[in-house]
Amino acid sequence: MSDFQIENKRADTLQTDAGKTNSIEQVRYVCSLGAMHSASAIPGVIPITHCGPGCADKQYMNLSFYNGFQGGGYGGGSVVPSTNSSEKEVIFGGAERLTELIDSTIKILDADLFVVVTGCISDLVGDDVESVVSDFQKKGVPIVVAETGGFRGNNFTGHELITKAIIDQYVGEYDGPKEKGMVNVWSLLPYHNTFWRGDLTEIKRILKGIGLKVNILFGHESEGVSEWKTIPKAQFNLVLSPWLGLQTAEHLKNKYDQPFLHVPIIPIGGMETSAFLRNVVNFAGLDVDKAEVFIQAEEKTYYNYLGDFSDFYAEYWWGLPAKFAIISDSAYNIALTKFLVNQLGLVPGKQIVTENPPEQYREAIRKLYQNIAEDVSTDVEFEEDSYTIHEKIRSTDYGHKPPIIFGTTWERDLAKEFKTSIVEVGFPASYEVVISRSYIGYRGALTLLEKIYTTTVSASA
Amino acid sequence: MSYKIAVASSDGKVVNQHFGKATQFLIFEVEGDYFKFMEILEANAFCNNGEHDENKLLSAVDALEGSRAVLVSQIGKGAVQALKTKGIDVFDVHNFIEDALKELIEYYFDIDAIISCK
Amino acid sequence: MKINLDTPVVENREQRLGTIIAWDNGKASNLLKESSSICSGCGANNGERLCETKGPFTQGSVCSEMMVECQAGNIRDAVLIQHSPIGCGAGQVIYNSIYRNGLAMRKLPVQNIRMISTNLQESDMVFGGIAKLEQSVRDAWNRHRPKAIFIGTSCATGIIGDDVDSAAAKLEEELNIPVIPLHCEGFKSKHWSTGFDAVQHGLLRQIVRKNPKKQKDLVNVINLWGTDVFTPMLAELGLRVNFVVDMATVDELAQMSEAAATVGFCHTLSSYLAAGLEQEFGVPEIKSPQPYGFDGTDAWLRELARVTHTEEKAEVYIAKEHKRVAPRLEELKKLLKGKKGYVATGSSYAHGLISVLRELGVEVNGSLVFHHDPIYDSQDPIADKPDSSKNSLEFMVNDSGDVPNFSVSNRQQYQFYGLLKRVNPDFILVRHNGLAPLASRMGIPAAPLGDEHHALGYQGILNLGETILDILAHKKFHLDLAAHTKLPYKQWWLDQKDPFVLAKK
Repeated sequence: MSDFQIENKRADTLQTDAGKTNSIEQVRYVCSLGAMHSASAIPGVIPITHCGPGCADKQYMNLSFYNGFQGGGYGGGSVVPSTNSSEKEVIFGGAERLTELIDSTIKILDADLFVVVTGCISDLVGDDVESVVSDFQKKGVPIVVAETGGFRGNNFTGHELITKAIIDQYVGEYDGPKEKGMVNVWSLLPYHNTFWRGDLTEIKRILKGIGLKVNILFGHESEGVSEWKTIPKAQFNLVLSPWLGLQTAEHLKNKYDQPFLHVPIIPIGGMETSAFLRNVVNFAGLDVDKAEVFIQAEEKTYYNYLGDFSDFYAEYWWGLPAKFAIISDSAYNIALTKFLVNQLGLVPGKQIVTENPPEQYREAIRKLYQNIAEDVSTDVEFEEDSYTIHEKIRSTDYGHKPPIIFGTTWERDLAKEFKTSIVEVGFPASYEVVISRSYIGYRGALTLLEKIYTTTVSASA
Repeated sequence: MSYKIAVASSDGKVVNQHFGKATQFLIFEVEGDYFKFMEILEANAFCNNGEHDENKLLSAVDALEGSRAVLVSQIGKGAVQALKTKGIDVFDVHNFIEDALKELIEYYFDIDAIISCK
Repeated sequence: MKINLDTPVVENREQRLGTIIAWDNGKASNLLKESSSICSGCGANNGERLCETKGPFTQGSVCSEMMVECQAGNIRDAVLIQHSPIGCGAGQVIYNSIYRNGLAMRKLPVQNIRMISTNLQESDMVFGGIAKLEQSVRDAWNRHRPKAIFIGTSCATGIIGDDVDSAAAKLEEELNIPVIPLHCEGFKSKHWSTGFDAVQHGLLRQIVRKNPKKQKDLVNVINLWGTDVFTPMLAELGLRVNFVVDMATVDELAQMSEAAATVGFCHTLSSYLAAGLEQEFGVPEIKSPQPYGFDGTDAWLRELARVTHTEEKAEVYIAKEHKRVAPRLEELKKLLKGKKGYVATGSSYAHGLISVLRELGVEVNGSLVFHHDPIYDSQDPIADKPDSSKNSLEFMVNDSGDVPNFSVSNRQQYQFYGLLKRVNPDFILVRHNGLAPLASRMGIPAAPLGDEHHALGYQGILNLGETILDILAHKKFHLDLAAHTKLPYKQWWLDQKDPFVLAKK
């Protein structure tokens, strides 16, 4: 146990030795249908949901509104058509209703592509949605279907179901030549990763900088479906995340014979970003000299600003965080850990990954933490239930002062208990307004530093 | 607990009649998860493609009083409202009668089990 | 119609009250006339029925389960179990933020919301999820020692047929606290207000004290998270407030049967509970207009005073308040002269807000409600015409005037465009999400009333006026956006004069 006092621990929250159960209190991810946001994240694409009356709104309000107040964009939020399934669809099936909805949708909504996603009801009742949608496909309507089903996994797995559906049913077959220097990027989970819009912008910027033509695919920097159509032409795929996107990359390897580069740690800061870019340059066989010009220029800017910041970091009077605890999805978790340890020299306190990554990826993720720096090795736990997470955080020994917490809205009270600062970095971030902010790459790292230290400093008086 | 379901059908095989144009309703009695045909209820078609005689509508609805649900292929909004005030469920479907009945009965069976438990 | 508490499953709104979610037949008085036809056979309207339009195109609505989260999930010393796959659990994020803010506004200790999802997976769909439900209920007990545990069902558990009631009964015996099943599958009702009824049904059955000791000065106030405008107001009558359901404790909910009267901020929300308390426990429901605008608030206070025998104090307060707000009201009327407002909220609440706008001299030539209940609970549809003392639509039409271009639309954004174009308001009043973003992109600002009590009572008239002035200035933002944004609707649709045209084909 730590040396410092954890005060005002809620009298009504008790230690429990129940061990891991099915209960999830204070959710860290949502259902597979929630991945409808991955569709609306592509410019010009509108999802159509075949589900109960509350699903679409609920998924929007939690993933997008009360998580950075991100907004629904062109085709999200309350724009999304939904069958609002009723008793009739439960008893007699909903295929007819879905047909009628799609029919009227194409009259009313203007989209380049519609993506039908299904919820619990239709998957339980056994609606043949594929058949309904293929009838429209045969008529030339730009539409695909992904049977996400609420209970079939979570919005991470749903995301890859949707990307696969678009690739197989819309992008289709391709036998032609590859375009050297073109890359498809598979990275953060739109909307769930609160800063995805700014982050993807930065990723595209730096990859472009080293000479690549970038299919960023999601977000405002994407050209939309026309970009998706060029996926098969890309020289390679870049999976820039601990595990999300690997299935997609494997599928593209089989389908279009495309190699992929897997970089599990999204780079934050000068060192990491430069290393990342050099890795990509090497893999893709790009012009090294040209790329170096870009990298050097970026580093110059970065270190100028870091130098300015270093006055503060070296001699701020009132003490700075020394240890950290991170409670977030794996992508941000490992990226932050790497940055905090290597750039700032902070000491890992506790890391908990919350999106329930599939079992087969966990060992590799653990190794990343074990090798976080030459002289720093740490561990990671996988836990999705916030009650259990908070117990673990409380029972960790941090030494003489509390760690700074990188977490979510669920951790706000925990931070008060610890009398420490909290930076909300992931779902849900209900007390952040996020527009184009990024926390990664060269530029994002500086924004992140601003956020961390403004938070600690402004708490003083 | 037994109840009745009325089906608008001209041929006894498929749910194929519009409520307002139905010439007959097949009345089925349901007990548990088992149903049997009871009788045919002759009906006077009252719908004139969007217009209808209100009195005839009401008497059609009255004639079905006591049924828990009615299955039709199509129905106008006025009729839906009228049936609802009598506590009669309405479903517009295009199935074979046997299939539709099975599905609906299974559903009612589950609900009744829950409602009757306290 | 008598409320039936003998079954654990609440009858949904459309069954009890003939609720409709889409209607577009002209003036508010038309809706009123057609509603009277809900009494079958009374021929009050030459048989012109209340018809609900039904079209092929719908956008996502809201479901009953969400309202269960909204109420049962917000009780301070209880836990709500969401018996569902993780998707329904997403609501925890929304309601946590609202709950925390609500607690802060009410000056109660801020804490995270306590809802547990049973996190059902594919295998549970096949083999049932009761074991997981029992585990989660026990976890709730072990973790928080709550005074009560609510269980909300979901579309999935409704379809697979989990016997939640038996599990609840068993656990209630085991843990010796109320374990209350709330049947709220999304597909069971076309309007989400059934979710309020489901919670209130459970409260009446299992929480409300069955042998109450009457407290003559206690008044139940059915609300959500609004600021506390009721305590000072009722104190003028020598009365105390028992806020329910959100942010109350289980004990405060139990004592509902001990109160001298029940009021609410919106008949739509409180209809079932208030009627149930009167029917089962003799707690008089204040059947009067809602407390919005002068006439509404006067009538409401007078009826409350009559029932609690505090008439003299009420008259003093009424006179005092009329005098107090008059000067600023005159100023606000001058500043708002010529302005047109459009209300788009839940049913009774909208009726109230329209009255307040008219007190401010704002023109209301169009509005929409998300649904319409032709009658309320505690009325017999076979006997007399709807009890107009509780009929907020009737009061609005008779007292503050008819509303041309009145519509019923369950938050369908695609219809909102045409509806706004009909009347071109200067601003809209909303509470629920989804419509204001469209209005924004049309250059029309919105006043979102997160604090549902903001426009209530005499002070509420002033509050609303001030807020409208604040947001009218926002027009600059919205006009700029409107000039640079493209709506996702096809031009063909935007050109349609009738937003309900698809239903009529």
